[in-house]
Order: sequence, then C-alpha cells, then structure tokens
Amino acid sequence: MPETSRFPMAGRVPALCALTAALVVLLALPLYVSAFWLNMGLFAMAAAVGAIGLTILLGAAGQLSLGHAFFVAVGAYGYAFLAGESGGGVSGLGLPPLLAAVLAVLLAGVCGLLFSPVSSRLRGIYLGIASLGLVFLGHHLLQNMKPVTGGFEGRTVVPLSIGGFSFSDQADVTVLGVPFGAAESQWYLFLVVTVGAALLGRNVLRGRPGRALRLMKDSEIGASAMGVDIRRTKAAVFVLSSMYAGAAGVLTALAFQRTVPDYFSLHLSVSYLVMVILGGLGSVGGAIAGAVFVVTLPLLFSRYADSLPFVTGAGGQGLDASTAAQFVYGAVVIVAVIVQPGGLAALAGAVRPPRSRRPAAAAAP
Amino acid sequence: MTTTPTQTAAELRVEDVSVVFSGLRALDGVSFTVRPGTIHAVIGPNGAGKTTLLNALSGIYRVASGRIMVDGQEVTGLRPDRVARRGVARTFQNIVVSPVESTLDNLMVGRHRLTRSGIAATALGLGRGEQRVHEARVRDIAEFAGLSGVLDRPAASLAYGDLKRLEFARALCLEPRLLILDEPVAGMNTAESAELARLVSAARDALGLTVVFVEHDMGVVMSIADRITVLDFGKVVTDGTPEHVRQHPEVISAYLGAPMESGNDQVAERLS
Repeated sequence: MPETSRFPMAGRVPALCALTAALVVLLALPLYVSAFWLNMGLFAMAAAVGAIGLTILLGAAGQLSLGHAFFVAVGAYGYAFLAGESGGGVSGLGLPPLLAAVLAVLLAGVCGLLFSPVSSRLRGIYLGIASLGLVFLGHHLLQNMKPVTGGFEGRTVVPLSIGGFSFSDQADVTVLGVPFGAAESQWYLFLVVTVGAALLGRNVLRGRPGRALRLMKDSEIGASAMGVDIRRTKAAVFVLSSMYAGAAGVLTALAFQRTVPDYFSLHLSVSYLVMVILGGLGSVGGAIAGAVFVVTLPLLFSRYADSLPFVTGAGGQGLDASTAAQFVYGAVVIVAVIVQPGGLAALAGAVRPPRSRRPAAAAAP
Repeated sequence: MTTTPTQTAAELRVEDVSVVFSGLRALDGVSFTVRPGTIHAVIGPNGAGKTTLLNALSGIYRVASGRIMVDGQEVTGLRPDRVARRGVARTFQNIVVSPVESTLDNLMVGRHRLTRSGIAATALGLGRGEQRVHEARVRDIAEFAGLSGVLDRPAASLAYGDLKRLEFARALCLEPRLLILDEPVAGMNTAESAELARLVSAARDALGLTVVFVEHDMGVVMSIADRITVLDFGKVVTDGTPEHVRQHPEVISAYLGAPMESGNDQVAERLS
C-alpha cells in the first residue's frame, strides 16, 4: 500500500495494534453479550454507514443535505419491496435478497442522480433547504403508495440470505455453544458492510476526488481553475452520499425486520447531521463514533432508566429515555461546536502523534 | 526538476475583448498578443481591469464580445475547468488553498486535470498507482519552488511567502502551457519578491511556458517581463517592451497622475 511510503510503519504500529484489538473484540462480541447489546450494535452500524455518506457530502464537499432520511427510506423500502413476496395487501418482486439489497442501494443512487439538476447547481446551506422537500415528499409517498410501502403500518422485511444461509432466527447454527440467531449472524454481516463502507469512504476522501471536494468546499472558483468540473462533482458526490444512505436503509430495514414511514422523518435527517457534526466533519472515523453515540444513548438511557435521575421508563413521571437522550446530545452538540469544532475526530487527533495526524475538517459552512 | 520542456509554450491572442458588469465596461475592446515562451506583464492603476482581464482569460468572467485564442483555438466562453484542461493554469490575488490540507495535498489538486481516477475507482483503491506517479512529479515541483520542507504541514500554518509560492507551485503542477499569475509577489518583501521573480523566469525556461502576469511591483515587472501591456479604465494604453512602456507619456500620467488641477487645491484649502 502506498501509505506505507508516506507514513513510516513505525509511527503506525500503535494505531494498527489498537485497530486489531478493536476488531478482535468486535468479532468475539456475539459469543459473550446478549441480543440487546447486539441489536444496539446493529442500529449503530446501520447509522454509521449513512453517516459516512453524509460526512463525505457535508464534511468534505461542504454540501448540506437534509434529505438524507429520504434516501435511507429508498434503500429500506427498496429492499423490502424487491426482496419481499406479494401478499397481505402489499406486493413484492421476491428477488433473491442479496440482489435486492444491491439493487436497493443502486436505486437510492438513481434517486440521488434524479436530484442532480438541483444538487449540481446549489451549494452549502441552499442545497440543505432544497433537499428538505425530499423528506416530506418521501413521507407522503410512503404513506400513500400502499401496494409498495404498506402505508401507515409499513411492511415486514425479508431477512437477508446468502447461498442458502439466512441471517435470521431460522438459521439453526450454534457456535461454541452459543445459538446464532438473527442478532448474532447479522452482527457479522453488518460488521463487514460497515468496515467496507468505511474503507471505501476513506479511499475516496484521501484520493483525487477527496482533494477536489475539499478545495471545492473552500473555493469553487479555485477548484474549477484546477480543472474540476464543479457541477459534475457536486452531482457525483450527492449520488455517492445517496448510495451510502441507501445502504444504511437496507441495514436499518434488516435490523428492525420491519419498515414504518414515521421513522424516515426529518428527525432522522437531523440525527444524521448530529452524528457527523459530533464526529467531526469530513472524518470517516468521526462519523462512525458520532453514529454510535447518537444511536446508543437513548437505548442506554431506557435500559438504565431506573438507576438514572430524571429518567423513567414508559408511563413514568420523569423524562422518557429518548427525550432525555435528545437533551443530552443537544447539549453535547452545542458544547462540541464551541469547544472542539473538529468533533470527536479532532479530539482523537490531539492524542495522536503529530506526524500522522490528518487535520480535522473545519467548522460547518 | 527536469529541464527539458515537456510541452510547447502556448501563444495567447486577445482580440477586442470587452467585459461588461451591468452597464459598466470593465474591459473595453482589449487586444494584445503574447508570443509563445515570453513573459508578459499587464500593469495599470487600481481598477484598470487587470484582474478582470485575467478572470476573462481563465473563463471565470463571461466575455461580452471579442475572442480569446490559445494556440489558435478559441477558449472564449469556456468554463474555467475546460480552460484549465486546455493547459491554462492560474494563481489568485487572494490566496485560494485548502487551509487544513497539507501542502502536498494542496499541490496534488493541481494534478486533477492530468489524472483520471473517479469516485468509484478511487473508492476501490484503483487510483493509487496513478497517485504515486504524480506524487513523485509534484515533489519535484515542490523542491523547485522551495517547498520541500513544508510538504506535510497544513497550508494554514505556512508563512505568507510560502503560501504565495504554494499557489505558484500548484499552478505549475497542472503542467500548463500558459501560466497566469495574479499579483504573484504582492505583500512580499524585496528578497522574497526577487526570489519569486527568479522562479517565474526559471519555470519559463525549464518548462516551456508562456507567462501572463499582473503585478504592481515595477521592479519585478521590469526585471522579468519581455513585454508589457498597460491598461487604464479597461482600455489598452500601450503595449510594448519595458523600455517603450517606461517612456510612454500616457503611462507616466496614468501612474503618477495628471498635473494637479486647481480644483484639488481648493478642496485642500477648505479642509485645512
């Protein structure tokens, strides 16, 4: 790998060790922890994939999207429709699930491409406003295209299966005495997708497109004077981000085993925004960290509601867990933007040796 | 840096070019020719239209009338990225770099027009071979421009003079046939200015470039320019060798101002 010539191996050994250790822990986890924790991990990984797409769009290219939830919905419902069987008031194509998953991601990309007349012309916050409409359009379609989406109640999602192995509770597999149900087997599936998405995203950001995007964020005229086709680049990065969102949608659908329209609201778009801002704009690792934080906090709050002050379970007197979590990450975003605009990524960079430090992206546009 | 020119310098012909901003004629029928391999200065007082001319040449401003020809091919009306792809590189008066990026990454952006790997190929790691080849060349150019010591530093941490040289080096990274510099030594001290002027000359000699530059520093202009076009109020005042321009009466009046009118004296009296 060419990085070895740019960054001497000596400086990377601690990082590689940490990465290996983390990977070992992640691989061994299903053998030791309960389905609650594994499911939480699934939701976090699904969100992480979508956040990587948004951090490329917003962090590197400076293009704001509030329509991310729309493309997540396209991925989720696309998969549910393509892989699902007809019956029970909804139709489906009954395609092999793996094919359906790939097509759902491509479908999200096509939807991103259809938006390119807008995404290639607007920049920054103006694109954010324009993409806002997609969320409402999407929500309307999800409610009303009943044969495809199942309407208000949504539709169930066929579990993924590859070569006869089903990532569901039906698979009768036991590893080291641990029965591998949906949570355990999907854990590995999601891990592969997340690591793959992270590597692809990192390559894009470190390579020729990433450099062009970052100069474009700072100066469109400057980038075009280097030969960067601004409109084409903006459209392309929007399509890429849509495909990431589509993949996140497929994973989300698989994790929930059901899709309902209300999940894909503006609130989801804003959650993704919080993830990438908290994580540090333009950083893949930051996007993953931000996603883990935003997804796990409300789940942790509700699990430990009894032992936390002010937080109660359903029907109690205090704040419910998800509201409490929103207060917390609302506060954390404010503190982060003021104190450490580079987010979690910059925080990590501060403890890394300066030689290999990648400067974290600047503050939001 | 290799001393054999990798390509032939371009000829630039500006034919009767006008640029109009909502009624204001910023450029009014400007014509001049830059012969291949020469260094051509554009001078004039503030507001004369010098930067407007450079922006018109690089496709940033739309030309209202007239033609711009690079090696006989018309580039009028092309978008900036298309002009860049014809081998026209430029620097900016207000430095335009990615502040958080390293010097090396800022220079690598200059290879954009010469490299191919798109988003999909780069995502799959296919752009690395190409990147390695181009990085070697970029490092050579950085050494030529005296930036070898700061390649890994974020651009924001560079001294002003280094930033100006970074922009110059990045333009060279496009392997241009025509290099456009907008006030390359503005804000530099005398020694830095002389050094950059030397770099511009050396780059022209080594790389086979045609250079068009705008500059207020007359010392630099007179030392490296083969020919000078003088603009005032969007029109060409005169065009010729440094000796010719130095003695031209209209240039002297445009630069030093016309002899004081009595009106100014009256204003001065009222103010005192």
